[in-house]
Amino acid sequence: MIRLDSRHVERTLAEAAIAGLGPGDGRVTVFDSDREDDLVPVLGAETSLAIDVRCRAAAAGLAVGPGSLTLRLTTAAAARLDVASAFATALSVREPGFRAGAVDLRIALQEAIGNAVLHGNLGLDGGQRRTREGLVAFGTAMAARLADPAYAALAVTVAAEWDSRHLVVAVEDCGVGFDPAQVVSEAGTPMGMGLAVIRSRCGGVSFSKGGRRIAMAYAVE
Amino acid sequence: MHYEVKQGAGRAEVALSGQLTFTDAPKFPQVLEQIVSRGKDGCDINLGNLEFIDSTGMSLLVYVYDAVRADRLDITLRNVKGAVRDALCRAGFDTLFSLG
Repeated sequence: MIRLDSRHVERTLAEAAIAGLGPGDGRVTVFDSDREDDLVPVLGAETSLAIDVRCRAAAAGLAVGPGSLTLRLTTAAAARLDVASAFATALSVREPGFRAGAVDLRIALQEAIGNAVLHGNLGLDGGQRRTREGLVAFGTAMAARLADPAYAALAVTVAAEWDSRHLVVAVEDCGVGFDPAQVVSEAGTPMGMGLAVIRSRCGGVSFSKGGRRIAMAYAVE
Repeated sequence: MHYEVKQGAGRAEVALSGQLTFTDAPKFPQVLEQIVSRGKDGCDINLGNLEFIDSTGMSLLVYVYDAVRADRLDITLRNVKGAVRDALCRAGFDTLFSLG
């Protein structure tokens, strides 16, 4: 049975946001990212799925079930709020056996969310930042696209599934995807640093959906 | 991220605080410009109040390094501690900078 938590938004908006959600069992919290400065209350211990009412097709493709926690929010919100810290904290609350890995997860998630925002949904080319002029253009384009609803309302989805021994956390964007094999770290430059950090902070990385989804594996002690 | 750039005895004195992340990327050009314009003899960056840094945040330090070193000037990072120190060391920044 799905239990709707609409404390953060008007009930009718919450019900509309979960239209299209498949059958499942758990609590769904609907929130308005424009009204939130901290996601920790949104990801309260009883919540299995948290949906930002400002996302396009907010509940599309989502499901609710035990041993899972999913957060879907807009690109603009993912850029403004400390998603990685809140999500890692929420997982530690739900699975105490994971607390030792929470720091690594926070760091890896931060990189994955940054990639989903900058390169996935905002479609910005990191290579542009090799020059000072490119750095200016990158920053200008980033600010402009975050202010453009066509980009800003695109969804970033962070989803975790776990059992007594394993935890997998995935981040998915709505961008055009990429080939991770083409991303090469260049020593002494920022290029490719994010993926290198992710790989060093989890037990394994896999990509799917044409590169739009990255999954990071952890052990639960 | 909050930042402050002052000029002291020919060197740019920079203080970064809070969290330095991809969210701050639009600020990087102006931060870099202020450091370059005020650091005729070099640059000191105080990270004592920086709580967290991601790879995009680290890239700002690379840009500062490249700009300052291009003029054969020196750059030091001060009060590098905790999670920030760990992140920078893991990324090999201790080979670029002396982490004080």
